[in-house]
Amino acid sequence: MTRFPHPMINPASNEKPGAKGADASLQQDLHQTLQKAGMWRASHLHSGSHSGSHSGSHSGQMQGTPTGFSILDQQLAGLGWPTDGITELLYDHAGIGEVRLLAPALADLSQQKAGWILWISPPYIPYAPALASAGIDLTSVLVINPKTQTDCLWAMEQALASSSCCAVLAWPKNINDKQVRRLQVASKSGKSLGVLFRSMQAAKQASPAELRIELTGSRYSPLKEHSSLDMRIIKRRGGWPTEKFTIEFDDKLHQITPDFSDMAFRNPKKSTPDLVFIDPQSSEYQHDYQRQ
Amino acid sequence: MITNANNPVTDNPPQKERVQEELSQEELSQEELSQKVLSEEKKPLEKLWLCIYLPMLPIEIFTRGFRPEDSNRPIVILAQRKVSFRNHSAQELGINIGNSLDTAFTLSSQVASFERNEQKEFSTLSHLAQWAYQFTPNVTIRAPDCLLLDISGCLKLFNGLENLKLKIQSGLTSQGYESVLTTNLTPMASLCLAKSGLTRHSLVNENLFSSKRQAAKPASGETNTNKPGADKRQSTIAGIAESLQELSVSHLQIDKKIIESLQQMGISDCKALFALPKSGLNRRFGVYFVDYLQRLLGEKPDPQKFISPQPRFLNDVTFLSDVNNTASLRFPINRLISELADFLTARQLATNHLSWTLSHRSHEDCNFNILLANPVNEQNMFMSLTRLKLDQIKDVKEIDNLSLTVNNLYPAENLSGDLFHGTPFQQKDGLKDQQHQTDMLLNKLRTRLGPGSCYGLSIANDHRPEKAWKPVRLDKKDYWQADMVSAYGPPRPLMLLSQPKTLPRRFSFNGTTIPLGERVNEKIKGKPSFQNPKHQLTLLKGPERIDFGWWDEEDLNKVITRDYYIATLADQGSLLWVFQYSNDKQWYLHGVFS
Repeated sequence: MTRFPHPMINPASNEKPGAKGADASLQQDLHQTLQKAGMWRASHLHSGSHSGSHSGSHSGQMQGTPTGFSILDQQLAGLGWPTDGITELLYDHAGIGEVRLLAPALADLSQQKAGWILWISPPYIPYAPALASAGIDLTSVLVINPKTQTDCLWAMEQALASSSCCAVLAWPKNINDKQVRRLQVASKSGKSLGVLFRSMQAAKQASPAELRIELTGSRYSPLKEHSSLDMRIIKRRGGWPTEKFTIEFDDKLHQITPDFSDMAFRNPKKSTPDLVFIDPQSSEYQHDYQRQ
Repeated sequence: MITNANNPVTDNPPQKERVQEELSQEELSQEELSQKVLSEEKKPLEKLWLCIYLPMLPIEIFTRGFRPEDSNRPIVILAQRKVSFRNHSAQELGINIGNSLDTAFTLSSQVASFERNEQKEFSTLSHLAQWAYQFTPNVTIRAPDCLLLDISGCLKLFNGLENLKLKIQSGLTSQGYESVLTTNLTPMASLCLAKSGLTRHSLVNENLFSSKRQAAKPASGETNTNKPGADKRQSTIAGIAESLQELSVSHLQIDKKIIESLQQMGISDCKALFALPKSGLNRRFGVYFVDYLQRLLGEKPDPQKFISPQPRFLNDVTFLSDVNNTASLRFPINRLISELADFLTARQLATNHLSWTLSHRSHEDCNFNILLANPVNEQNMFMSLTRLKLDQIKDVKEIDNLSLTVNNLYPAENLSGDLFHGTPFQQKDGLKDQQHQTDMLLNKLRTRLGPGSCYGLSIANDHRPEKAWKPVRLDKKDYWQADMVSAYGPPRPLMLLSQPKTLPRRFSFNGTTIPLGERVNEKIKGKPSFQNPKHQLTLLKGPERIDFGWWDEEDLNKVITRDYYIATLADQGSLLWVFQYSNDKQWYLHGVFS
């Protein structure tokens, strides 16, 4: 550990016999301070999970909800989504995997029966069969569609502060940094995962959110069968913004049906219907009846 | 301000019949009563009757919603265009009973007048009887302005008579009612004392206490216990007669003709009346009068018909001047809610539905309901939710009456405090607390956003994508549990469009690529930008053929199957769920793999 010059200690006193003892006690003080709950050192962000010596400082820190993606977990201070602050996911195009990114964490939380997973004004209907197959317990899902922006923010603040929600996902139309700060404060008391879905434009503005991640869809490539998502953390606790990195979903959504083009598109000229209704009044059948 | 129009009456019309019923109760159940009489004639008098007399009830039904600063306003109640009741400030001004309204206005321009509303008086009285049920189960309504309570069984519970009286009186005062309380050993005697205002002549049943004390300590009171019951009875009758000595005959609850002829005979107080021989009175005034006297003095039993607890709550507050902002409703709302909480506590009930009505004589009523997730009895929760709802009501015109109705009542959960605070029970408390928090959040959300905008999700038993899910009402919780969730079935998008969106109809094949317009969500018929290769949709997985619901009425018209594909927008990397109808080859967007 490096020695820190202390402003209160006169350099002249170093020569005195008690000087060595004072220095030792200073180091001990520093050590004690570092052991305190809530103290963390920026340099421990990555090493903390590996080395046992710093586990003490980590236990004092807020444990995050594991994201289910180990690459992402490594980048985050609590080794998961922060539960004492707002997370902002910034993206421009729906369908790149912005909710799929949260699905493993949501599935975990819903299985623990920790409270509601509240969806506030989602752009489309959260589709129950897909949520169920992602492992999310539907009895803990609650969807609300506030009519106004004010109601939307009010509902989110109430939900974050009440500690009866384990996750709050919101798609506000527009939100400024003062409002995000209020939500941030509310989430500190409620200890729930609060996620704001915002447009990429917001990346330029400052925000008091705990964690901000830019999401961009990764292009389809015929070489891989799983879909993936490119992301860049632009703000996080205990670390600098990161470079772009990619996480891969285990969903086989990029898998192409082998003979697809031959079946549906190359032979579109299927003219005669398979099923013919038999009309008993037609002359052909009339003839049959008469014969009997 | 003159308020001549009839004030809105929130009670049902059959209330009037109930008035009749109460008045004629003695005639109705003669057989029943005679059996009781036989059984009770031998017993000594052991009951103590408390009479609550509400002298200002006709006025208070209008004035109890007033703000405190309005309480000194002179008020008169009119019956047939004459003053029939007036409050203290009107009395100080010199307004007398029988004056005309013009006289009252000449004396002061501040006078507020109301038409007498006897129906409402009775409904208020029966509501107060329900309120008094918290003290004793034996409550009788004596129309128009008295309640009789048999309190002999509950004196110990409330630490003696004085404490009980104090409690009742302060309870009535906080609700805005002035009251006179008297006690006596017979219901009629306490009623007469209350009406005459001779509260200091109230008789407390000494025998009741002494006999119980003797039962506890038989050694000390040996001589008294041997006394036969009849003797004791005689002495109590004498006691009742003594307490009524100063009572004027005009306060007896009898025919006015009898009172008049008694006064003409020179008999003005009860002392003189009791001195007369019974047989003579019987001959002169008939058997009913003597029967009344006997019941008054306790010589004959006087069984009462007690109320049964009401399974609904209804109360209202009338405003003196029209209220046109919701902020000033806070005080009356507080009052009604605390009355509701008392009502619920007394019956160990809880509710999950409060309906408020704001009404005005010349406007339509404004109703709002408060729905709670679970039945509770919590004043704070009721209050905060009501306030939340009230803030949303924008166009309040004028209000002159506020009423609260609660019909859905449920038995309350047994709330018992933990005997051992600390270790193992804390977890249970934590769970309860969590439940409470959840309920509170749900209540708040549903109150502010409306019950329809808040729902759960469930999968449904149908293969068609738009019917494979359903919204779940939170009070019903009708989740459909699939036997097994199809984790290995074809992938489904996390977000579904409520209505499939049409994609540009014309498309050119470029392998498996369909060009799209600038944005997927926009309908840009006829103008697909073929030129821009960035907005090209590539079909990846499919087709998954989904059949129509041939058993379903609404689907019968469109006998069409759909071929679903997973597609990606080449530029953005978005994954979409699109389908094509089998007949006209029209493309639609139905879901987003968010």
